[in-house]
Amino acid sequence: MILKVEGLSKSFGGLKAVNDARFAVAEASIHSIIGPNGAGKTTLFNLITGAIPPDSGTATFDNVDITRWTPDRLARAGLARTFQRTSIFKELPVDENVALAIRAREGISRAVWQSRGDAQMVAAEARDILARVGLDSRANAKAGDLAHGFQRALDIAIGLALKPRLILMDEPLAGMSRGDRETVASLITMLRDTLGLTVVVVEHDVGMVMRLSDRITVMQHGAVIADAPPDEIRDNAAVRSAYLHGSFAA
Amino acid sequence: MLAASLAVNGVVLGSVLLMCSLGLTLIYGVGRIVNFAHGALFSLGAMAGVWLSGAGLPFWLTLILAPLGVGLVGVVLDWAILARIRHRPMVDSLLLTFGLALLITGVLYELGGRNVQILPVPSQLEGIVSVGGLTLPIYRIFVSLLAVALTAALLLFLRNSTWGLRVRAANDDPEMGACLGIDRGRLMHSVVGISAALAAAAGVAGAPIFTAFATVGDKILILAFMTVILGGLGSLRGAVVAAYAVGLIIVFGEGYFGGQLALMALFLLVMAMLIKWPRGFFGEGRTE
Amino acid sequence: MSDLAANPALERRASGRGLLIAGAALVAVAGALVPFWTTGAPFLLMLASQAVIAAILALSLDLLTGNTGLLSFGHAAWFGFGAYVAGLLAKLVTPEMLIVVPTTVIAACLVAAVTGAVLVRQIGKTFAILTLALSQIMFALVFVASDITGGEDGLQGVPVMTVLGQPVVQAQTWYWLLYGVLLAALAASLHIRRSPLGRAWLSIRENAERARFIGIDVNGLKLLAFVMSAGLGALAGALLALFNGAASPDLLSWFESGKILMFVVLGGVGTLVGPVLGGIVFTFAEHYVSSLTSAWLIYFGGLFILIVIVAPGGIFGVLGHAWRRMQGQGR
Repeated sequence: MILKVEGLSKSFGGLKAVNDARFAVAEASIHSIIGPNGAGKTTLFNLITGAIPPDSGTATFDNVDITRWTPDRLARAGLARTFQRTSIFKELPVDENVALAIRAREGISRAVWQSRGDAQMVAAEARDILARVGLDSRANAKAGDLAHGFQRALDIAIGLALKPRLILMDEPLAGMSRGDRETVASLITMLRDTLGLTVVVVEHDVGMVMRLSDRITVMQHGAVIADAPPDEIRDNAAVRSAYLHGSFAA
Repeated sequence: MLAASLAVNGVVLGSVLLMCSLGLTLIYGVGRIVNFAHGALFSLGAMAGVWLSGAGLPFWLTLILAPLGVGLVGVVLDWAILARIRHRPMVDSLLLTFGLALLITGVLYELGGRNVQILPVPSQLEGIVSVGGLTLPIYRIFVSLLAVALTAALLLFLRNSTWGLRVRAANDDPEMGACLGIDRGRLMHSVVGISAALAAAAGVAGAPIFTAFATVGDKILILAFMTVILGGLGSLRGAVVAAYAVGLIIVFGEGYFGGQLALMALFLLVMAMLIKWPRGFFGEGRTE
Repeated sequence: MSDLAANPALERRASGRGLLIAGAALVAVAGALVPFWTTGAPFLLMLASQAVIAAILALSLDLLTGNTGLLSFGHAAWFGFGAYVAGLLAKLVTPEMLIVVPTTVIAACLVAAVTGAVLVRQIGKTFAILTLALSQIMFALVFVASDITGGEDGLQGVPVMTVLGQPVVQAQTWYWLLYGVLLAALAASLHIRRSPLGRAWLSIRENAERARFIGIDVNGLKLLAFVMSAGLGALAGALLALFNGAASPDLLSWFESGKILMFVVLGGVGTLVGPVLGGIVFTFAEHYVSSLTSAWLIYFGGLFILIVIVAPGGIFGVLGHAWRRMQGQGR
């Protein structure tokens, strides 16, 4: 188990946004977290990635307690994340977006002088990564000029540049056209199959989740109500009632 | 005895700061704008007081007309200038209000603000009263009461009127406010107008104590800024408590250590506060 | 620098860049020749020297604002700090510039590192307010220590500077010295802009949250920018005090901070070259306008407002935009 979440809780005012959440993620799998709006999925994500501190509970990554780690420390440890809203450096060129992450990973972000060898290494790796997500032809475009789906792909490419072992994606399909969804979905599968990455996804598109995931954690009112492979989730009564009328029976 | 009279003066300064800080807080809450021109509006109020009483108007009328006039100036400034950058990044609003501060100060310089002007205490409020062996200037008591009364009126108005409801809604969440059909542009005109009027009222009422000149509001602005940070950006009750805390710190510091050192001590306190409680006294300041 | 060589998009623009570099070299040489044009007008050379100091100062603020997006409303604090510390050192310790100036800059960097550690962690608005407050504190310090600073009258009687024991007296020598510092600072800033550090800074200005999540030490880099900016600002102040032989508390006023901001906004935030030009143009404009009217603050404030509303990219930003559009049509 590469990621273990044990008893994470967080309250805002009186509201228990996340209540004693527990689950574990297997290495090289796609693990989805679903649940109705306000179930606490994004908060859970923020707790794991250090964006906000939990009230109690722990998260362990590769048997190391990472609770309350800062985001930059997590990134260096091999845990990357993408955001609900695409988060890229819009004014910078596409390849520079990826190069920034590569240099951060290599610990040469503060360099004032850079050897030609280093520069070429960074540029070559940036091109490699962009090729993987299908952006190599747009390497020199301004990131903000890319179409929506490509921006999301760039977001993932930035995450990949950190050479993570685990990548957390917050609603990677949100606000996408059907075609873009397919592109991003096949990207996610590629991460697992080709690169051997573990992917944790928070997602609303239940149909897509059923197709993609190896395991699914269902949340409601801040608590985990089910945690099983997709087939079992489909037949789970508690999940059906959480999603009114079981309308996602894809 | 020194301590007691310093305490009184601290309350007076705190009251003046309160009037300024409430306006800063409201403008921040509704428009997410930090108003660097607030000190200039204070100076404008003080100078307007001098002009009006120089024209022969009684103090009472001055105390009403000057804030009304400056309030109107505030509405015009918001409508003509601040409204142009509502959807721009935050830095533009900072730059713009800073430019406004320069402009207003420049105008005041040309209208006699290079020299220190005196606004006499009205004859009805001259003199002192003795309370338990402590002598208090009547005018200073009046200024404190005025500040408390205006603050109470504003807070009541915020709590009970439709306008107050709108301001509070916009304060909590600008997008929510828009959903409720609030015209944020017009609301902002009124908020800037009322805030400017409050700053001007503080300027006029303070003029017999602090005198009047083009940059009289500069120090007040710095202190008001320290107040809103101590109280938490956007927190009204935080501002109330912080205003008196700052007033007392400054006056006691000046009394015992000299004025400039008091300012330094205050700055260190603010820095320490930001490390320990970045959201102010009540933990409700904004950090976005 | 070299990472860009590997970037084909920029190679494609290489011909345009060659032209740009030639133009820049021409302007740089023309700047160095100023003392020869002004042989009959010593005042003009002095004004030019002041303009060069203003340019260094503008550049120092752009190191902070242009690189990290943090807006300082109290940059005069470092300018004044440098002027007073250098002036006092020269008066009380030694007039040797190679000792006075580095000591001053290091002192400013230390103070900036301590205050900055708290300041850069705040949101932009709080940062803006606190920088203004910090400059007021420095202003107040001048009066607290008026025994040695001269208080309201300013610091007088700073002795003539020496470099390696040689007194620097001639106006031309001074100009070239200042101009050399400007060119060196600008070249270093432009180099850093294109280095990994510069790119990391830009990423913070662009999207600080994302920068944090790719493992960039956002607060550390912001602090670095703050310290460098303060150091260069103090350098400008030190040069001013030694050049004028005096320092006045006005250097620390919020009008001064506003002026520095104006240089940067006028020239275009983050363009480095723009603020330098902004500082030069503004210094000359201020001199001629204030000789025509005493109400220059009104024009200054009005222009400030106008630029923010109409041309947030600065005048040079607007010109550059037009230039790029023209180039685009030419293709």
